[in-house]
Amino acid sequence: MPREWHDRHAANVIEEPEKRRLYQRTAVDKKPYFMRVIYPALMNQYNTYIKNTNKNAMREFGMTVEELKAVPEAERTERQRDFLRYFDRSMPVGVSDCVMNRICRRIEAEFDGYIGRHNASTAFDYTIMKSGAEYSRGQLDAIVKLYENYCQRLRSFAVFTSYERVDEYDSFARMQEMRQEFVSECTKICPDRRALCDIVLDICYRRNGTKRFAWEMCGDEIIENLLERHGGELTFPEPDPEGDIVFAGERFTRKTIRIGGENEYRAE
Amino acid sequence: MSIELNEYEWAEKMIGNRDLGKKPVETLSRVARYYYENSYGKRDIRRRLDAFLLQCDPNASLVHWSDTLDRIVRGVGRYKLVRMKEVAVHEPELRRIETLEGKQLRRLAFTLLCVARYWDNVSEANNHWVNTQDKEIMKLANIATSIKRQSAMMGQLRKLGFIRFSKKIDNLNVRVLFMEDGPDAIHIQDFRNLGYQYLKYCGEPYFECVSCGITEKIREPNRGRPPKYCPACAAQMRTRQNVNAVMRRRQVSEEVMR
Ligand SMILES: [Zn+2]
Repeated sequence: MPREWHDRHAANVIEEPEKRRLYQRTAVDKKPYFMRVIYPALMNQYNTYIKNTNKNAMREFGMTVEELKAVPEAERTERQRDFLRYFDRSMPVGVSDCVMNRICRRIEAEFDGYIGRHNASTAFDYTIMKSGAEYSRGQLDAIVKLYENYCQRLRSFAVFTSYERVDEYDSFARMQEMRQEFVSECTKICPDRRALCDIVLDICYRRNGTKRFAWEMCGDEIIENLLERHGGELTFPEPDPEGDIVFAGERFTRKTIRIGGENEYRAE
Repeated sequence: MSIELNEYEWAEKMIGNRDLGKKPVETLSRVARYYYENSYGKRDIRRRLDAFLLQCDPNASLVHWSDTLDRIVRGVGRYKLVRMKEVAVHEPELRRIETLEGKQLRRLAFTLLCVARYWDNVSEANNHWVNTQDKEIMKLANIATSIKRQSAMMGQLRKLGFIRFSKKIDNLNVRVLFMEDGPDAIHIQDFRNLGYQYLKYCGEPYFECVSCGITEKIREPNRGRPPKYCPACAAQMRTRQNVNAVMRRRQVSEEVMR
């Protein structure tokens, strides 16, 4: 690719005036908005830019950039006009209305706040996942140490993934390895899987951080406990053209199956 | 970089504890500079970083880290490790802060002043600027409030001539404008909970942990003597006592078995 296509400075030094003006007008020196999604560094840069300009706008004018843009142009102060001009000029991505950017924005608008809306329900009682087995204070303290070490390892792993694109398979394999290692450490401290399950649940669900440790260490036990509490019955949606549940353009019906025990069955 | 009055001792402690801390890159950079100041050559430092990383996290991938470590070693001589005993706040500055309306705003001004002076002490070229992230500043000032309110407070401090903002619209740095010479009034020897330290100076119920030096709130001020230890140190001590008790019991039962 000729340098003048993506480098404004290179375009500026073209001698022939007409060609220079054309190249200056068409130079693409920023990656488009939608590319943030595949370049973590660009995503970071964009998010920081938006966050910081908003904070500065709030500090100086008492409103966000969006709110400032909503003020009619004639009513803006000179400083506000400057601010908005700089805001557009320094934007780290190309925000034009090209097709890909429009698709990207549509999807983002659709999913904006989705998780928040769907998690807003009542407080979750995690004790429904517990086994009810007893454990000692010493075991708890020892597993807490492992938990802290686990979180630290997750963080140090996150340092790379935030800098570069890490191969998904590679990352999965390393997580599996790490999981194995911690499972065996945990088992050394607490050989009773049912008690271990309650320990990791009490650790993870009584604090705000990730619940990942509990599910990685004792996911099977948690599922067992939930099943037991439900008489071994598991209900889930199954694809069915006649079904009464509509999701993502497909129809489903509720199916119940029984897992484990003598009466394992499929209810039709 | 986060603020540490004595980076040299800090790095020594991390090496001793085999601890990468919450910001691994920052820790590695300080450890590298620690070795540099102890006259190790760059190649030697690079090897020692690998070793340190593996001691902290035996599963760390040296391949993944190698670019970062190379970069750290390349810049190792650029900044010296900070070794400061304290940061002083002067009397006229405190009087100026007292003119502010509201405790939160005073705490924020106090914190910005301390941080700016810290960086001034590190390098004269700093010229009273605060480059520390606003989130970090609020944490140091012990202010928990919405971004909107935080921004409003910054705006207020600017309006009153205490600070000025950066000219770049995406830069959140501020410059402290109310520094003034005069007799020392407070010596800051611990760069955590600066907000609490200010309130303690104002005579409110706060105490210093005798073990780690952090300033914390006295939860029940009417209950006689203030506590000796901060919650973190107290918890650590309880765990240690528990472990010791378990060990003792185990020893006793082993002796009985014999
Ligand atoms: Zn303490």
